[in-house]
Amino acid sequence: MIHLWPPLLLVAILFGTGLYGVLARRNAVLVLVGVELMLAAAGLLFVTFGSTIRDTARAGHVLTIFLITIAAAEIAVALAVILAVYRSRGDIDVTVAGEDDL
Amino acid sequence: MGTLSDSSGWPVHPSQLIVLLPALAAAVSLVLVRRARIPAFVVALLGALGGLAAAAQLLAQQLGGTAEASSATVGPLPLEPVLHAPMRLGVDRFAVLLAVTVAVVALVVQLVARWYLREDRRYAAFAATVSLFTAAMQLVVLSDDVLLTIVGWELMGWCSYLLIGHDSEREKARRAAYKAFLVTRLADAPFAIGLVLLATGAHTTSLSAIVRHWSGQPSTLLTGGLIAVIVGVAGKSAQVPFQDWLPDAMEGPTPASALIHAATMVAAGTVVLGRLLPLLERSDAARTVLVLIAGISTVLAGFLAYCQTDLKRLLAWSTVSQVGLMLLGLAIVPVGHRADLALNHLVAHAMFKALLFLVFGWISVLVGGTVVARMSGAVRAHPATRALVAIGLLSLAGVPPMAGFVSKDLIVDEAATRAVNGDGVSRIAFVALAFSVALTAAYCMRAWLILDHRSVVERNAALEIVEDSVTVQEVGIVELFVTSAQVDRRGREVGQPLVPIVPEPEPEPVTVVAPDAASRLGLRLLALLAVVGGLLVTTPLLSLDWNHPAWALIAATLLLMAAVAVFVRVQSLGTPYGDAAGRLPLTLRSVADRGLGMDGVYVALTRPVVALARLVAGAERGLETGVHSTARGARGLAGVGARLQNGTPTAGLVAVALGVVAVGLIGISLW
Amino acid sequence: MTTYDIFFSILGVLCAASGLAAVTTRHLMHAALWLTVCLATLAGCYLVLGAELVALVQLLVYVGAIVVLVLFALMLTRAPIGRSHDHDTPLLQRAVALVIAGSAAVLLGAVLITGVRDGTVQVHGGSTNALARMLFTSWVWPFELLSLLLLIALVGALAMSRSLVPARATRRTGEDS
Repeated sequence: MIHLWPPLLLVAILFGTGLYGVLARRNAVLVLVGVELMLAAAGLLFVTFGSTIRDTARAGHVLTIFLITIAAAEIAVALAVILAVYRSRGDIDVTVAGEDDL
Repeated sequence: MGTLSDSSGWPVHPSQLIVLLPALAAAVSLVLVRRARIPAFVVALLGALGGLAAAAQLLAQQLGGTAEASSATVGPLPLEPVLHAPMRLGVDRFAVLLAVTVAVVALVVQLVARWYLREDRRYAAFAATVSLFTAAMQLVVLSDDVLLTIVGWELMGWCSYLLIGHDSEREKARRAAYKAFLVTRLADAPFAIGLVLLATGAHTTSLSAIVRHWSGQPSTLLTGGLIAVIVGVAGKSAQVPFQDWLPDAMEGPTPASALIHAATMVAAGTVVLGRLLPLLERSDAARTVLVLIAGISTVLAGFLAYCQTDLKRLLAWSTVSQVGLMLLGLAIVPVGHRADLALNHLVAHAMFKALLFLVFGWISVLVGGTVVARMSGAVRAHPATRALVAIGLLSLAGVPPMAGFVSKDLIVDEAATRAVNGDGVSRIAFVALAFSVALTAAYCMRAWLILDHRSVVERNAALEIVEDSVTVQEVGIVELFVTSAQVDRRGREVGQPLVPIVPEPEPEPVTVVAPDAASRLGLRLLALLAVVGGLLVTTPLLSLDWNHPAWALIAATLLLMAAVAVFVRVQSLGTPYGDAAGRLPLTLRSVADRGLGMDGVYVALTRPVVALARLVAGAERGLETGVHSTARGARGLAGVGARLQNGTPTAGLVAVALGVVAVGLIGISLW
Repeated sequence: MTTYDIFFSILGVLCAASGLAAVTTRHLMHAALWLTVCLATLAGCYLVLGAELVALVQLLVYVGAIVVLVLFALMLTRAPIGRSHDHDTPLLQRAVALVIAGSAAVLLGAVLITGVRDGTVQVHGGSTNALARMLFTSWVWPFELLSLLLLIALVGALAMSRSLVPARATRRTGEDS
């Protein structure tokens, strides 16, 4: 038996933390860290309800696994992009406008 | 078109050919021979000849009693439960006679137009338009269907615009064309409304069926519809209050005027009303309206014709007057009779008026204009035109035994008979007719006196003075005092042998080509018909009581005409151009020349509309400004956004996150 | 408070604290390491919630692979080692970010917590067997699609890291000449 509010509170905190990380970080890799936190919050939400709702399809858990997979794919591509940007620009600072943007 | 409807072995019915051939000629001419003169003429001539041949065949069938009463065109329209629209042509005595008349006039006009427009680059277009015009008129003449009538009617309005504005490089011609188009268009609206009223009331568009349907009890709807149709007819026939476009239409080439005035456009109203005559007899209100419009028109136009300083405009006003006569002839027909009085006058008028217009056109080419000063003495200088002009004017004036006399006298006779029998409408008509007869005689006499004036000697004297003044002009004023020899009062040097000045006998170059044989033949044909056209009443085509003439009435009419003629002759004595109207006050003449200032009235009538249009335009401008300022606002907002967008990714991220949170907040608060 | 609650609270506090540290630390490498801690404690939370397989996958994929990738990325982009304020955006933006993140968290928490019934619920996780059966019966097509997605991501990442090299080379030569 478990109260539902601690996991949900953790979801909210993790999401807020991730969002703050995305907005307050200058290094693109750290922005990605924030994104990972937000994804983790989503995963926790899935698991919470997957474990507390009677569901024969086990959707909560399965979808969390999928989510982790997708996160892996996302991070791979994102890091490739970051590396490419770093190679062509010399930095990965998201507060500096790109050449095409100005 | 061209449904196989005839059982006599012909692939198409002659009535279809009458309409189709000129239309085909117009189409072929416009598509194939836009530039070439000779092919255009050949095509137009073939169209006109074919139309005439078909009309003649139809006439023969009609006389032989074998004519089919109707023929199909495009087949019935699929409007069946609501409206029965058979779209058929109707063939009866009325239509056949008119079709022949129109075909004859169109043929002669085509013949003369080739000569008259011999130097016009756009002759081919003109010939094609004349062909199309003819086709449209034949459609109106033969139509037994409201829709076909309206089609022909509109086509004529359009073609008249093209013909009047043929010399489109001249401002006046353009203006006249616009005016004719707009005025007739204005009147077309009530015409269409009236026909629609009649057709929807009868649930059919067939004219004969409409006549049958409404022949029962007289009703307000019938009267309303008829009055609307009469107003439309007044517009096309240039009757009061739409009369002013017709004299202005004289800006068109003379053959076009001949066609418009003699047989087609202005007569179309008579044709349509003639078809609806059985209904007209049922509605006294409509008859009264008709007789008032026609009566006022015929008298007013007769008077204006007398005052004109331009003989072509004189003819134009006489057309208005004569069409008024035809409409009077329609208004006074006794119940149960056909429109033969008006029809007879229409045919006679077509002949002599086409003749007059074409001959005047011929003369105007020779003397270089149609104003009185130019035309004065023209038939003396050009004797070839003398007999034709005389026949035309005599017929117009209604002197026996011309066609004009017969037709006019029959109308007067009928009006007198019915007026005596106590018909109010006929009384008005009779008074108008009496004035009209006198005025017709007056302006015909005046025109003849001007044309026959002995003015050549005076003109030569005037020319000599002009010549001398030119010589004076060539002497420099300083040289005159310093170097030149003494001159006499005419500027010729004293002591030098006099250079004989040879005044030109005519102001026009003698290189004018006389009309070719075909044109002359056509004019002679018209003249012949204008003389013997009166015999038409003896044929079975017209059922008129011609063999019981009221001799006293005829004598009185002739006496009146003779008296007026003598009066005009006396007036003309001693005037510069033999112009009897020269004795009228100058202000009156100038007002008459401007058609009693109807232009001003038209303009005044349009003023509220123009004011409304300005208002709308102003409002629209305001709206436009509003719309523009909206765009400015949006652009300003965009500028603010563009300044905020500094191109850094993270600023965008912040904005997006803010937006997401805001949207979430809104969504939750609304949930 | 049940036993689950206690365990979850401990792990949750650790998780939240390490997450906060990950986004606020001034050491780049520490950020990645704090992320590791955070994700690992989250895996513990999954265990408490009875999702053993998910917790294992979380450990394997996230902690084992993704964090390693992040670390590699940091090293490849020559991230400075040591404390530095250069990794953070200007103060004003951080303040705005704090407000936005806080309001988002409050919004989310309020919605989630007020959306569920009060009181305790039964945790019936476990049963990796059942989960596996579902994964390879009902969810097999999404599963295969995901494998395709991974392949595409792999190829895409490769292509991405290769394609810009010639462009950079030309630019360099352009600058040199």
